[in-house]
Amino acid sequence: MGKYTKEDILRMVQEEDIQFIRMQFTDIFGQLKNVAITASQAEKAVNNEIMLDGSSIEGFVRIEESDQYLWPDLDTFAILPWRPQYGKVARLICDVHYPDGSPFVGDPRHVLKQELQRAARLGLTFHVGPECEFFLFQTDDEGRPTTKTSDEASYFDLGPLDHGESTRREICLSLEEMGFEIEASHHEVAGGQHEIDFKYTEALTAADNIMTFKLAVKTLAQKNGLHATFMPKPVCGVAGSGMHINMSLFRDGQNAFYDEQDPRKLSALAYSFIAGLLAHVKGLCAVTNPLVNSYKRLVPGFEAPCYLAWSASNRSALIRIPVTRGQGTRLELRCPDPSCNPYLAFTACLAAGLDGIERNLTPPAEIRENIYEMDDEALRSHGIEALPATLEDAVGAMLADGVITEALGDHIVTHYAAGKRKEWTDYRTQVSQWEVDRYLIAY
Amino acid sequence: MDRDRIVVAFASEEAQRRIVRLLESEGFSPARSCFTGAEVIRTVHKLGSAAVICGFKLRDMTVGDLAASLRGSAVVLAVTTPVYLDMCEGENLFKLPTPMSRSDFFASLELLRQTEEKTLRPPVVRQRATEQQLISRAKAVLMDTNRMTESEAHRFLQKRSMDTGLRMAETAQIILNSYSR
Repeated sequence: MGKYTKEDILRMVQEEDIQFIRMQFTDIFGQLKNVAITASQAEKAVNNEIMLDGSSIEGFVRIEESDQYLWPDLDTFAILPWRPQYGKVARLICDVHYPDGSPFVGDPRHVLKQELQRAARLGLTFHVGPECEFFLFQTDDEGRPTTKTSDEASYFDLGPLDHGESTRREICLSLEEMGFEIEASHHEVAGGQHEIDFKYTEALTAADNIMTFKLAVKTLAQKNGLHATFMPKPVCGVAGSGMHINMSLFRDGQNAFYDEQDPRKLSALAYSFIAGLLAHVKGLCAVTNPLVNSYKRLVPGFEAPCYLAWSASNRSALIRIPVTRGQGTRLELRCPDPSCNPYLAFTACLAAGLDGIERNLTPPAEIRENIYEMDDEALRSHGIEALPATLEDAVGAMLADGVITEALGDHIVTHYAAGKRKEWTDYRTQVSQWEVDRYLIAY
Repeated sequence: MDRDRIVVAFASEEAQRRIVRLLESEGFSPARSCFTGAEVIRTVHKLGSAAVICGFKLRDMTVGDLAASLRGSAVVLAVTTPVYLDMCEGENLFKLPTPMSRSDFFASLELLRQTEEKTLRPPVVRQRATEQQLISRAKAVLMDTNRMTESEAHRFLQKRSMDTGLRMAETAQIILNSYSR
């Protein structure tokens, strides 16, 4: 039984005097797209009659098959709480369908739903709690973003509450107005860096929430004269922004990762899930760490993981087991960054974990030592491998991983790999300032 | 009006200089001159509240967008041609058509001043920066350790202060002392 009916939506649009509705969906690269309609089209919207030209969306369809339809998930109806100049705006998160009503195979939300259905056939539901980091930067005299923060560029000696902090507070309040449950929010390690953690929820809702969260952060940062970025490593030499993913499986309302009898109080299911994640993490990096810049973060020295290891004690491990048990038992995958497409990231994580369960895989030994202090010999003797070092390596690993490619589907894999390879080629042909500084005089 | 709570915002340096010279001729000293709405917003945030004298279009946004972002913290005087003024709207936005006379400009500024004083200035003395920092840190501790949300932590501090008769900064210090043991 859903939260809202069509009649509920139409009534709310009228009662709340909503002027515009943003029909939102996400493309394969994780960019939020929308078709904005006026309130007069609300009835068409709830009857799945709003069209879009899919050929204008990168990675969607070609021009000769371009008519697609937006089918709103009525339960995602929400009024955007940041007041626009003219009239209230609501949003509906949509699935993309072909004219014949079948779901579009290149719609990331559909792909996640399919993987969740696969888990449901095993009697399992997938719950996720993301921890998103981001930077708030100042803009310059032309309004362009810089990498300067208000932490360092203070005009006044005795300023009031730090601007970044108050912006983060406004973001949390706005998200709570939209029904989000925020577990925590705080200033992070680097200057201008912040983190907001969401309460655990079912994976599809969690992915929807991340997309809305990014929209809220960007909009409210701009409203506060700042620029928000989810770029993983915007400044060399300071901590980057990650998006740790806490995940667990539930069966019949009980946390299926918990086993009172186990020394670590983890179930066999949990261990198999860990094993599955480790077996496929190289293959899923291309979706959890989708940018050239993502791999500038996955380097030693800033608590970002770069080696395949799991640990209940080591905070810097790729897969960490937080201390909570009982209904809160979970794994934390620490390599993803917030530039990822959350639908594809959760699909890949779930597919990896389910493969571990279906094949009854056993994880390698837990690593309690500091991996960063190990030399190559020690890493080899522990059997510890590294994550892909570049986006190119990650795409290659994805294409070689049958579990990940099957979960994402041919359409997404083909278009995603093509887009990422082009991105890599464009990057590889750039001459960076580092090269000029290092080579121009010496050679 | 405190003479530093005026912000001048125009996309062109020449327009900024003209308005600043006009203000200084009457003894006003604007806090800042800005090219972008983003910088105006950051400046107003630092000042707490302000009167903003602004052209129609800044380098990153229009005066209407700026006024909307500054609702509750600033009053804005849009100084531009009548055609552009017709495109401006906002509950905190006043309009002055160009070409303008000196007397009209200062009459508008006086109106801005009175509106800002009556509607935007906080009724109590603004907390000093160190007190704000204490309160922020206490909230952070409550959120991290006790898993409170931002608003729950704020309400907790408020309620504790009310119940004990202490100021919020004092309550914050007690919390920080407790958690550091």
